[in-house]
Amino acid sequence: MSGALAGHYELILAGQPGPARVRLRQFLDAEGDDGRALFLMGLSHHRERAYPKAVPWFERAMAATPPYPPAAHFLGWAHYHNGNATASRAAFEQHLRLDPNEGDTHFGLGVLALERGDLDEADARLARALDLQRRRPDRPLGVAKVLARRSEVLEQRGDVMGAIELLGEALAIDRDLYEAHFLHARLLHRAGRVAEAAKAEAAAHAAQVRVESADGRPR
Amino acid sequence: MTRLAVVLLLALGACEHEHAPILLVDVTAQTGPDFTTTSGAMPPSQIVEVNGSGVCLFDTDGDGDLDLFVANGATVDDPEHGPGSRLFRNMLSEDGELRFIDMSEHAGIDLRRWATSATAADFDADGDADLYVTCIGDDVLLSNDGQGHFTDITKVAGVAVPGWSTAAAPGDIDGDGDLDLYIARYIDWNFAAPPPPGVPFRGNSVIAGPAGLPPQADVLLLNTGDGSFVVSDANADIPPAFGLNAVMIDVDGDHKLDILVGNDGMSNQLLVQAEAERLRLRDSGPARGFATNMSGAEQATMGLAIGDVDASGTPDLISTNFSSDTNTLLITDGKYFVDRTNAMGIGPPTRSLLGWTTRLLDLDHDGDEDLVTLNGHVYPNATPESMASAWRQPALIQRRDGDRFVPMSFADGWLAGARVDRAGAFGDLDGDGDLDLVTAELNGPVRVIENRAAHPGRKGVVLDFGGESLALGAHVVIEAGDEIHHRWLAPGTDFQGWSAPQIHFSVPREAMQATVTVGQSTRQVRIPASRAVRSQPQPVSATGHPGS
Repeated sequence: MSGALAGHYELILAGQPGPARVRLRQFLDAEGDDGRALFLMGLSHHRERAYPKAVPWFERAMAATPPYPPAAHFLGWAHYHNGNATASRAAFEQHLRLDPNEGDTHFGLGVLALERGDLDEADARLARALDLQRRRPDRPLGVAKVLARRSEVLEQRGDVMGAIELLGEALAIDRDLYEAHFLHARLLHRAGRVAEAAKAEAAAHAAQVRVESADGRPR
Repeated sequence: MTRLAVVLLLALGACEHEHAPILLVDVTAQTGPDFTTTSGAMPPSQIVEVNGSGVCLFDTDGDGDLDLFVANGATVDDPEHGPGSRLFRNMLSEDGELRFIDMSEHAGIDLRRWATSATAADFDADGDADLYVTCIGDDVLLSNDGQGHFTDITKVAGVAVPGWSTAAAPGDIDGDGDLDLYIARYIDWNFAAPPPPGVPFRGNSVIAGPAGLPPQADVLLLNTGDGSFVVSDANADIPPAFGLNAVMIDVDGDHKLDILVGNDGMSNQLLVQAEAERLRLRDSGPARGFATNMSGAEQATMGLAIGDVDASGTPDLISTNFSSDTNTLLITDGKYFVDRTNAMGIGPPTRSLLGWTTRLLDLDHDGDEDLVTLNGHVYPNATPESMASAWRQPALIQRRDGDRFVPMSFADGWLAGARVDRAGAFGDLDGDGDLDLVTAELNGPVRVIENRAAHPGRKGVVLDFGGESLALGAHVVIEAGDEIHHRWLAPGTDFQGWSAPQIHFSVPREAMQATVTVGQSTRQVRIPASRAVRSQPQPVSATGHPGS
């Protein structure tokens, strides 16, 4: 995000969505429906996990002239969190029509396929996501997320050892993926690797404390 | 003395294994009770007000039908002196007319403390069901004289468990021939110093807790056999958690009871007996995959449903959870649980719902078990626009269809209505061979929901284990013709609900006999050919021959 809206974006990233929205409203009042500003309004709600409030802003960002394509990606996640899988899939697919090489969007479609129980589709989408994310040096965390979710495909196909391997790769990249640590521990137990499982459990709890502390969540 | 009541539903045609319509009808206006529960103020402003009252179905007076106890709450300004819990006696008539009459005073029920749930079982082994009532404040044990009159024996029994108890799971955990109790507890709550409201959640200001509040350790009470209990230290190694549900069953088939504990926003626990020489409980939840969902997320488990989803003969589990999360299906081989929430279609329809009571049961009498879930949000300011979830929500029926659970929609009636439901308990209220339902809405009415399922080619059968408290937690296998059904006698898995100790299954209409294995004992059960309008319990000998 550059230009006049860069400061607004920084405010959102700094955890100040309220002040950001005040400034964005002023911008929109002055400039009319600007796709980027509408997207940032949606993003300000999205960052607060207020997904129902984010949806109409992302939709307006896509309806603006010109549209702001990343809004379709975020619209996909907002619909996902709202439990609207059909709309989520449509939004992700709309984004891929505009930006076919966005790994995060293939990842979103992979997650949706996992939720449908469509393992073939999930595997294909996550494989494509992994390939694309690995081409981006700025996306190590994206790679880790894909590896972690792809491990679920392997596990559901009965390949516990393969799943453990993928989780190990994911956690070597991002040690804060506490949910992956928990899954890792569970699968290590199933594989009879008790000592490693205990270590993974401890790592999971430590990661959870780190993440939730950083997130300001009480425990 | 064992007792096994067999009730059945008349079959009218021949259309085996097709779905029959699911018909759950609110008949409260005709049957009573006319009762509104109390759980603090409405709308709630503190977490102590959001869980609602409890419901419990059991035969208080030995007349063969199910009576209703409502474990009622109170208010935050006077939690010891609420409107009181109530006992409603089922006055089922000869012609099948159902009616609940308030008999609390006559029954000696005088409990005005904030109650949360009740468990009915024969704790003193005198042949009738007593009541253990969990409370916010000391728990209470009411002894039944067999005629439906109750006496408070809390002090002599030594069961005044303090704090905020949410569920009491009975079972003979130490194998000495009497019923012990595992008490799940929630938050270390202080009415005089509640946490300030206004916690941010998804851009909204909401009620505080449970995160940030101190959890309470659960309590294991061992029955001494002389009418009293002692607190055991067998669970001393288990850390405090936000417990909302507990049940004792034998998960791994080692003929020892295990304890499943559902926790709110923390890992669920699977407590197994870790040592041969003495009773010692160890949490094997993380190791066996029971603690979290597939993604490793600790969920907000409210209700648990137990059934043999994958037809393997082992107890699979479904948990209800918070909105924007899914309910979760864990399939087990007896040792490890694997998450098959999405593979079997459980997850997506539940994302917008906040689930409480849930139960697997054959609603349409097609031979497999469907899933019913009661829903309603904890935050009164929840809307689809603000939290992707509404304050009032309908029940969810997910019908088993092959290898998937399929969400059903209904145009009208109880199944279509949006409410703030919480507790539920299942039982054959009208003796027609299917399981009906009693629900308690948060600060709302207690409702009687009649199951009017009727399959053209199959009939429903209900086995009543009301006189067999030591069978609680047992694995029950029913073989009828070429069909085998696996069930677990676990009446207390419903959120703050105690279902009747009954097992329901359906069989082809031509089936006349079933072999029923309860734990390690097997008995034969005769299945009547026609509808029993009002069934009486049929005693069955210990060797398993029908007694009538």
